[in-house]
Amino acid sequence: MSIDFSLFDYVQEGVVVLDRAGKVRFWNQVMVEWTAKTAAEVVGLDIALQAPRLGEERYRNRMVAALDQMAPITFSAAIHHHLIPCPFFSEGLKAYRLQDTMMCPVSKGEERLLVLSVVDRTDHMANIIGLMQANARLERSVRLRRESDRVNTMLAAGMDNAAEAILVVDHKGRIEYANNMFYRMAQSVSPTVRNQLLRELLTVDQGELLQQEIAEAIASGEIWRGRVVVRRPDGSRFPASGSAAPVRLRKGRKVSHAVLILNDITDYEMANHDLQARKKHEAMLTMVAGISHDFNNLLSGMVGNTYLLRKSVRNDDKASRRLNTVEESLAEATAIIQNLMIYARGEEMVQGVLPLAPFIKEWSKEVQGILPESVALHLEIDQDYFPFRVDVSLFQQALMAVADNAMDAVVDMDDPQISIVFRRADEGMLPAQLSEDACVLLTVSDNGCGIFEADMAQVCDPFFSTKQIGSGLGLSVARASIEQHRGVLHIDSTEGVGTKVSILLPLAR
Amino acid sequence: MILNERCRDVIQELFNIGAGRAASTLNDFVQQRVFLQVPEVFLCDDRDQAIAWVEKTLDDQKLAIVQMAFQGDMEGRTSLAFSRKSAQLLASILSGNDCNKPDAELNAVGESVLVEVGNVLMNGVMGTLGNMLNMKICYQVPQFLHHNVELMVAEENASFLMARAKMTVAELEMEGVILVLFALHSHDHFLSAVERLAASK
Repeated sequence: MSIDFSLFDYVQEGVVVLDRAGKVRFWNQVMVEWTAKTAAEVVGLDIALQAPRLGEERYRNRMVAALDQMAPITFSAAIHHHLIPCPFFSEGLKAYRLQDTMMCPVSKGEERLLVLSVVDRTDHMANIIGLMQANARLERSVRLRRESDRVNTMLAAGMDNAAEAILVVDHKGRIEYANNMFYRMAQSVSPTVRNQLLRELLTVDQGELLQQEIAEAIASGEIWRGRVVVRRPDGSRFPASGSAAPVRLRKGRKVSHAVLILNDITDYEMANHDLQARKKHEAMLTMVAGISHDFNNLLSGMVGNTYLLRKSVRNDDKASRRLNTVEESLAEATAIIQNLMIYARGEEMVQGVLPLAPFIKEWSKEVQGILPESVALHLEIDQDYFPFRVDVSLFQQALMAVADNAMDAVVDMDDPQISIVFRRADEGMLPAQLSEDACVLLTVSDNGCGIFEADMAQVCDPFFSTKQIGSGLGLSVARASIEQHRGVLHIDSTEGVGTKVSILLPLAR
Repeated sequence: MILNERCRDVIQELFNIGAGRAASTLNDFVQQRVFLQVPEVFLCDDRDQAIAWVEKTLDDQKLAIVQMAFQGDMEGRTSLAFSRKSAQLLASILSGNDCNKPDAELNAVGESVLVEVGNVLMNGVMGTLGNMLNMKICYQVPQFLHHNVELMVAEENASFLMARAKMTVAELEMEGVILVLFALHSHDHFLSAVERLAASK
């Protein structure tokens, strides 16, 4: 008696019954719908005609094993996709139903048959794949967000630790962010400058105007570059060069913020100022050298002619007296010109190596000889050899100028004292330009009236003098001379306390 | 359940033959080199002992289980259990779908892949046991279950035959447990058959 499978026509799954040889014994209505093949077209024929894969040995072996063992077998849609091709006829695409297939052996007497239950998993799989794709998109979005967060963290750390001061201000000029360097540069005691207006940080005369200038540049989408003076909380100021660039939080949107980058240029401006001063000084030296040479030549002619004139007016007392006055003036003018020539380095140095200690000792004796008795002179001279390459005349002139200043400073004091100390210089006190050489230090100190603080910057300028008499060339010539000997002359003075002139000199190698 | 060393060796050998057949079948279908081995079998009548053995082997409370009941000369059910992580990994490799990541929930695609793998492996092992021990066994349809260890080994009055299944796919190693759970009246029959086979060798 054959088995009646017609009840399978009423189930919602595809059902196919195969015999051991793979011939179709039953083909239900769902399979008819899915394949457009009627049962009459299929039953009795090998299933491989409808489903070529089920003709393959690997599938056939499993089917036979299932029948032998009476063990059901399953085929996953994820691995096999579909075993019996069931196309979507309404679709233009060549697409097939994804199927989970289960093969259950049944037996009736000696006969064993395989019931194939085919479940359409297309929608199910599509949903799962959709979910998986959505999940993948979500993961990608999370990954991008994390990457973006990482970049933002890195940028924030970079800005916080940048070597320039960075400020972010909104369109009203209100500060929203300031990095560490800004706080360091501004020496801000306030924990934050957030919400402060930018103009409050700039100097009063700049604030409004500059903020407006920056705002205009940024509004037009341009980068502003310029110099600002920033006011510190303690009232001090520092110059800064900077730029302000517009920030659009999103492409195509209005400029909402600006990022300001500031560099403290105090050192640069000081160096620049020094450079300008040095250039001016060099120009002046050139001019002084030229003029003093010309005047020296003229004076030589005048001295010579005065000498000849004296012979001519030998018997004229009145003329001789006047000639004396002329000669005194000429001698004074010659001395000034000689000093100017030294100052302007117009004089060639005549150098030789001498032991410096005996030289200083002789000079100090000379100083002692011209000091008024009321002035106490304290000497402390290291007697070591100290070889020194020196132009004796120039150097002596420089030292005498320093001594003259000390004497002039103490002359009206109650207990006038001058101290001369000469010794090997300590390592730590050497300026950079003398670091390679062993140096000696000569200091001339007095307890005189001292130098006004306002005059300190000018005391070594030529023709600057606070005295009633004198050319104003003493210290300027002394410094020029010391510098020509590769030394450094430094003056410390406190008004009403005294002055100390320190001369560092490099020893000959 | 008392089992001598020789019978234990026979059972382990039968499991390995079955696993070998299953691996060969899987190789044909998933186009991956699948290697299956059963390095250890364990038998007991005590449920707590069985639970402890599964926990030690899989080190995970939540398991992915494929289960198939059987009847005939023996009655009971066979289960293949993986830790959740191994199940994800296996499903992901065999379906070629990297959305089944080890840290994600196992979805229906992964479940259907595991059902097929479990079906192949359990058919291989049980088919070999049935053939070699000359026992007639019929099986029910395999099912996928999310269970913990205690639910997997729920029966109080049963004998437990367990084996550690070591599976290597695409050079990744996973461990699972094959549990054959016999109704009490079945295990004498099973042991007698094993002893007969052992004696015949």
